[in-house]
Amino acid sequence: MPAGSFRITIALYTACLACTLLLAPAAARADTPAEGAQHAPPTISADLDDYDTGNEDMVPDPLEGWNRMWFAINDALLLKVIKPVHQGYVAVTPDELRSGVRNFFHNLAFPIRFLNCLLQGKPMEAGVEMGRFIINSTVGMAGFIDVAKKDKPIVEPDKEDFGQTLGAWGAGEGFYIVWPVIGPSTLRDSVGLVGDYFADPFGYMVDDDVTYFAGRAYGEFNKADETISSYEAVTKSAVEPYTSVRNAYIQLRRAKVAK
Amino acid sequence: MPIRTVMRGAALAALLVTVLSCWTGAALAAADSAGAARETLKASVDRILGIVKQPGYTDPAQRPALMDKVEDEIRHIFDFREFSARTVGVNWRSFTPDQQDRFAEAFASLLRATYLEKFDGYSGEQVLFTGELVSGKGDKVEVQTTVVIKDKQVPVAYRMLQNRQQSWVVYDVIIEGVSMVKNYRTQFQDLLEKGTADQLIERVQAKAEEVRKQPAQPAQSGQPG
Repeated sequence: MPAGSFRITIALYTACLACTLLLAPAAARADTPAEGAQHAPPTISADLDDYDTGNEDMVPDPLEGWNRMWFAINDALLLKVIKPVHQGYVAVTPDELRSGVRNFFHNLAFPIRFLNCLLQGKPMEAGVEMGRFIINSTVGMAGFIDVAKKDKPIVEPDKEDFGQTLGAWGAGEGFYIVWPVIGPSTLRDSVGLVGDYFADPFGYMVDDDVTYFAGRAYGEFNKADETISSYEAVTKSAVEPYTSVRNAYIQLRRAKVAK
Repeated sequence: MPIRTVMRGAALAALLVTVLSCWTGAALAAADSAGAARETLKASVDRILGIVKQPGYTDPAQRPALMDKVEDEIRHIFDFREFSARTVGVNWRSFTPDQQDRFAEAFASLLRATYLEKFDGYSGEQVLFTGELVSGKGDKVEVQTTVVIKDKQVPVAYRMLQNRQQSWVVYDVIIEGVSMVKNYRTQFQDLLEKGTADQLIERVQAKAEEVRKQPAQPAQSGQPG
């Protein structure tokens, strides 16, 4: 690791530490959903819309031909190549290693989530992210062990990213895009991915592109089972899988932006 | 005191009382609907979990009978006709009654094939009831739950309404913010633009058959039943 990026890392840790001092008390606020809520009076919502009329308003899809092509290629890549290879990987690696690698990359990407919590005016969630990051980076051996998970008050908040921040600021989705390998996105979320790249310390830690992409690819491959199971959850019961995935992606992102 | 002031005061008081009683009335009705919908759903979920928790559920010989029991429960709590009508949307009225019946049946069969037949037994899932959302008129309730699977928490909301028999039934399931009705509607909208109702019914039937033919795979992360 060159000295330059090491300095960046150190600076980052220092800045984070400074923020913790300011935000740590907030960490105790977020908690798990409690069953006890049932005694609370129900929320009256005038617009519990019954959506039984009118067509679903769909995101524009001007690149549908291109998108359908990549959808088919990604589908084959995920289910015919990655899935069997990942099953082999699961067979030869201990669970601890896989969850360790997953936690390591998740912990490393902390600045993305932290920054976007702040940009969306969510200081509580930012505090929780900070608390988790500090605990997991120190006691949890650089993030390999998710120690914070065992601590109920600092349970993981929703993952925030730049695409959601842009949405929260009022940016429209633009149109739907299916990227090779990366999968479903929109114009807005694609811009968000660039923002995420710049906030991701991994990009500053490695200098050459090959190592960077290999590292990222391994991180994603390591948790491919999650990707596959959520992809299959949407497509297995779909009559028209392309439309189903497009709509599920849009609904999911809108729900995240609204939160 | 001039009589007009008294009159105005009385009128104002009467108005206030009316508004207040309407408001509390609405609030009480909302609490009633929410409670009734939640209890109906909860009882149904408990009965279904009770069936799938039986040790016999993993035994291939006893399983079909138990699966029929689960399906019977699901058909009571879940209104497939309402669900079908909403997924098809504006085009539903152009379906003949026969097409509507066949569509609802094909759709129920697809959901049975994907969710019930591929569900290979209880593995510790818990359903927590976390709150309700009630429409202004009190005729629709969203019952919010969290399904806990191992260390994952999945928010699942059920949209419910009162059917003609006055019982609360589910007409949409929203998993992590994704409404099944809306999702299917975009698919059916697409297919109905390109084809006819009969072709759509065939597509749904064909998909159900396709799902049935797939070998049951070990659940990677345990899908909620």
